[in-house]
Amino acid sequence: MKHIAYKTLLAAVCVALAGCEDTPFLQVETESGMDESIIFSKVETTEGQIASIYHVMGETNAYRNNLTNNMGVNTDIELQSGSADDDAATGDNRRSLAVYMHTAGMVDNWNASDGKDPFSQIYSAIERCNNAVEGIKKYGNPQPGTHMGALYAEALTLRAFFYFDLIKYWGDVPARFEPLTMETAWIPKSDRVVIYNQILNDLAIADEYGAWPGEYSYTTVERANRGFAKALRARVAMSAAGKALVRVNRDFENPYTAGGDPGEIN
Amino acid sequence: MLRKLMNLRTIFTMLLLAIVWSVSAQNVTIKGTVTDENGEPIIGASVLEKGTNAGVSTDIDGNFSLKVTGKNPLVVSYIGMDAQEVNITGKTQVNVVLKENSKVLDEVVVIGYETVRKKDLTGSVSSINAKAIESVPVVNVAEAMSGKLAGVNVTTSEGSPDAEINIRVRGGGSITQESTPLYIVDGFPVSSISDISPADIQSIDVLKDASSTAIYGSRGANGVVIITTKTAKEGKFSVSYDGTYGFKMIANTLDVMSPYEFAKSQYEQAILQNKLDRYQSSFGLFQDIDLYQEMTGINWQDEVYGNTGSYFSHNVSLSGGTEKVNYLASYQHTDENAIMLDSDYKRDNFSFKLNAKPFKWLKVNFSTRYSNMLVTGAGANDSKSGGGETSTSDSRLKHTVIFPPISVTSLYEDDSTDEDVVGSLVKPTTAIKDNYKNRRRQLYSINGGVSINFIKNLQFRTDFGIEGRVDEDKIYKGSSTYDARNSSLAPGMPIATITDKDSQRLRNTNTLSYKWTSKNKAHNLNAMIGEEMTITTANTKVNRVEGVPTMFSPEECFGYLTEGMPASIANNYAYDDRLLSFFGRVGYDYLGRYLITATFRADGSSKFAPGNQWGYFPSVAAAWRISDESWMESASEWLNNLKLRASYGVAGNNNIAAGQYMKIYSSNTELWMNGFNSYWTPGNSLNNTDIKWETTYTYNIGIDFGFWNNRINGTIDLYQNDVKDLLIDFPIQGTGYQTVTRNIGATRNRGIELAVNAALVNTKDFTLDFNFNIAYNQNQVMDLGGLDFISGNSGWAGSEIQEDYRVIVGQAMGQMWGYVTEGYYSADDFIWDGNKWVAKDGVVDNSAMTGDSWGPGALKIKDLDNSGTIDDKDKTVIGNSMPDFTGGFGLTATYKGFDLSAGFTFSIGNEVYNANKLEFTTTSKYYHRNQLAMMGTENRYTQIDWATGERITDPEVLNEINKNANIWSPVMPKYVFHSWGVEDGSFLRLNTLTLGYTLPTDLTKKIYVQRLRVFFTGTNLFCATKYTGYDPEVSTRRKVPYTSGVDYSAYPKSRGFNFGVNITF
Repeated sequence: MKHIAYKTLLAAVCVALAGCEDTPFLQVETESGMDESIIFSKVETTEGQIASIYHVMGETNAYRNNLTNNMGVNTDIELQSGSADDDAATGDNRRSLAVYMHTAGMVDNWNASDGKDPFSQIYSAIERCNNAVEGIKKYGNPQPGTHMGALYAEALTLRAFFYFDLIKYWGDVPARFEPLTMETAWIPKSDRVVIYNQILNDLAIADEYGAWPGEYSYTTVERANRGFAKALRARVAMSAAGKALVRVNRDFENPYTAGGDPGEIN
Repeated sequence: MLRKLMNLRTIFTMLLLAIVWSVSAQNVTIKGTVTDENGEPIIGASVLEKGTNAGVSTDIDGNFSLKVTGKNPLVVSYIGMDAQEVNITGKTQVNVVLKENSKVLDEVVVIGYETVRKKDLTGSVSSINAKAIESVPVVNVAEAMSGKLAGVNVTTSEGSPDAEINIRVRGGGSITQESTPLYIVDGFPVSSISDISPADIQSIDVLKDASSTAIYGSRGANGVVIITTKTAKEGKFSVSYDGTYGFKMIANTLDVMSPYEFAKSQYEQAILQNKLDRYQSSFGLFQDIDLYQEMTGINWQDEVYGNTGSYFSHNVSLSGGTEKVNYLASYQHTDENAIMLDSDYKRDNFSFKLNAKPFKWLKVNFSTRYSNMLVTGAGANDSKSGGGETSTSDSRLKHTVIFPPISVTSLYEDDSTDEDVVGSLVKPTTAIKDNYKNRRRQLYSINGGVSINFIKNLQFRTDFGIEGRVDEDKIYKGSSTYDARNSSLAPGMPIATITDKDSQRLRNTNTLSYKWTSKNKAHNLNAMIGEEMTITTANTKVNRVEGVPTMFSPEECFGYLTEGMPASIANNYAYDDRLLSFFGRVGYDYLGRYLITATFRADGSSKFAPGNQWGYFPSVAAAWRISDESWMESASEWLNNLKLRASYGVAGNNNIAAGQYMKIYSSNTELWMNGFNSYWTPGNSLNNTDIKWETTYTYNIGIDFGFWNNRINGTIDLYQNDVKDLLIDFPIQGTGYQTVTRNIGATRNRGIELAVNAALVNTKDFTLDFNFNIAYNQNQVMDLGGLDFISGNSGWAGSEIQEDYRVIVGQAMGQMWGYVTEGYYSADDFIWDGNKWVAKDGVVDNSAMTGDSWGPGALKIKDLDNSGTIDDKDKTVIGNSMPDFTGGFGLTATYKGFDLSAGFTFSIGNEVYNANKLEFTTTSKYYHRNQLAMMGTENRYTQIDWATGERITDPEVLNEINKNANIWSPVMPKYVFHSWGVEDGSFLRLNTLTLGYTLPTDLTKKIYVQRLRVFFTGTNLFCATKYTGYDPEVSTRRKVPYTSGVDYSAYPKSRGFNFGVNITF
């Protein structure tokens, strides 16, 4: 009899477990973290999330050491010290970026194995912009002329800025305008026209929602403001229209239509 | 209840009195002697009248005298001997001879929630008992396990007193997570066993195959280490004291250059790099170089690690009790002043255990443990698993080798503004002081349990435990450290950080077990079901203060933190880690000969999203005692035990951080960007709602054998462990996050283990025992989810060496990835063009790697792809850190009152990445750094004519003067990882050697001392190895487990000599 009792008990346990999809005891939370529905519904925390975008610019080997002060800074009247050395063109330090030379030996700044290289850093910033744009749209109720609206414009402007840099230095790159999921982790590169379209539209919206520096206490010249958005929009438009070197031979009349043999530089 | 008792008592007493009154004439006094098989009297044997309370112990001559009713037989028993029933009808004198029981088969092992006799075991378990651990003077009990358990590889990563000790059972299956086994102490899972006092341990059982670990389902995938602490024994009150005192010295040092060689190597480096004025401003003219021969250099290794460390340990324990209640209390104090400057370790342990059996059917036990540990001192390197070192330039050991042995003028004056070059030479004693660390860890645990026997053979047990832990770390980074130089608030000024971590774990387990035996004792069945719940919480506070005034010493600055600038104050509540489980086990045997066990466990973990929380882990095992078969009867003379076991089981692992499936934002302090104080981010890891339990499938076949009444006994095991759905931190840089935790990949471990014990000699005066265990393990990565390999970077050379490890599908973990050394270029390969060396046609181009030394004598690397140039494509697998064979052996001998034991550990086939050697024989972008003596002028290829100081440009002359050169030029722009840096790390180490003497009991009894033993123990007395570094058992880059086996700036190991005494009153 004991055996029957035990068998039924074991069976009951198994049945109970099979039906256990959601065990309340195992749901946990932390008091040191917040979900995005809370973050983007308040202005203070959204500001804090925008701060995380700017934080990326301060990381070593991204903007801080490479892109801001070395990449292509040579002009007719000034040059980066070290970039005129005999070995600058094949040199393996970041000063050769001033002459747009990146060599295989420059691994310590550009190797992606620990995620500290500029390409990975910029995508990390873009992901934060995507989170902000989607989050504010969903939870923040942005309106032109409000603080939340200005932050929305700021996120859109920064995203356009980062994509513009990616196109300038890498050409055609993967286009991601939604927060990352496992499904979108590996996507092929897109024609830069797709990206240009998106960011030009974004900058138009930013123009509408954004605020001039000094217009409110929270808009300064150190952050992406309406003036910056307008100027960036103009530059992007000119690049898209053909002022930059393009990979595909484009029809000058309608720069958004590809024509001629692909692969020629015009 | 109590009244009933009282009534019962009174009735009983009256009855007794009545009996006594009426049958007083029938009272008999029985006298006798109890001896063992050799005729020796047994002292303290228990002589009871069966069925009554009458009993007595034998005296020093084995004699006893007992008043009995005369109706019942006597039961005579003693530990380690078979109890005997003696019929006494009609006798007044009996002499009893007790036989030793075959200890091995009746030994019990603890496996998942109950104890089982070894002979009934169907799974694979290795055990050691208190005797093997007790007089080894180590602060961490894991060290005492080294080399004693087959298939359990214990490696101490460094020589510091609080060094991390890795325990790996059968290789370990994870790739990005540590493969640590589950630690259980008295039924309670703990995060580490380093706080337990070795004197408190009764036995350690390691469960290796899934049939034993499946009952622990989750987290049992990498083996389970079960520690059982001593319990009180029935008997009279006893007090014992153990004291040990010893001293330690550094075991090995490296040979560095003398001042003369140092000056010459600096000169050659300056000539090759065209910077003669740099040499002259620091060292003077070449003509005066001979003056350096007179100078004596400072031996920095001696200054920093030359301290003779001392070790003290005292242990007092009290135990006593009656049949109903017994207790054990113990206190241990350990104090170690280590070999490194300013480094020491103190620990206090207190424990109390109480067992009570108020009624026959009720057992109550209670135990509490408290430990308080204080560690001061830098430790030579900060790389810990799960967290990284801030900068390798802080690794302290290297400064003791590279810092110049003589005072060099203008050492810090240089026109280069590159801090990396100038600022990296730090006086070793300053390096130690500038990296002060003070760590306090308090641990307390309280456990209580009740077992109730409802009816005979049905037992219910409930356990409740709470463990709390408080870690306080105080870290001071002085002005010379990388952190201080890059401080954002006050560059160049010291930084003080206090981290307080408070964590607690609550556990409740309930089990119901039942045993059934058939009437004829042929069938035995035992069954158990249970439920368990564990909740772990943690809270960490970090306070970081920058700009601490230098007038405060590292120790005192923590009392004056308001003098600095607060940089960051953080308080983080970690996710609760909750586990809910249901488990059951059924075991059946027929005639004790055919055994079968099945277990099942279901675990739900809060680390996974709803829908993936539950994992199911079954297992089954069977055993056949061949030696019990009737047709084996004839062989029982020489083969008394032969058992065949087989098992299959599934275990799980959830060893990842909590909260990986949720996208939650947390706040961090912003130190760089203007206008912001903090920022919110979900972290660097993408959340993944699909993660679930990692599963391990194990197959095990084993044979237990015993010859000549277990004179020689042992086990052989063959196993295969397959881990599927590995939880890996999968790299996804370039998408927006750095990693994502995923279940992909698979690994496999296969191997054979053998453990043998032999009682070689066993006579009255002299015994000799020998034990040996060896394990062969082959590890293979089966799948990496589509990737062919994962790159690893140990990081010791900062960004100069990018990739030096690879985890490759189809190969073992721990593969090292680098260039193949081919020697050095000869002068025949070059032509001097007036300015520099130019390689002839057909000579492989290695100029990028060798820089200024490109020419005769430059490092030559094998061109594997025949491209004519040396680049990344010429890298290949050049070594592996995993050992092929591991094990140990030991000898125990006793002669009259003397005892001698020696324990050896060995490891064969492991290779060590000698980063120290590579660093100390390459200049990289630095100068003024000392090197190893092996780079001296007689050994290396030199391009200087040492008579004149001129650079030689004639190939003939170069060939001539360098015909005995055995190593290339050290002048290179970056560190390079090539096969010369990989060395065979196989070793044989004498871990402990103990010689003890127990004073004769008749002498000691006079001073009321039951046992007095004095002993001497030596630790790490020698280590036979071909490895040229400090010690072959090393792994310092532990941020991820696949960069193991790197010897870089490890705290050196020491040799110890200890004396001690054990006294039992």
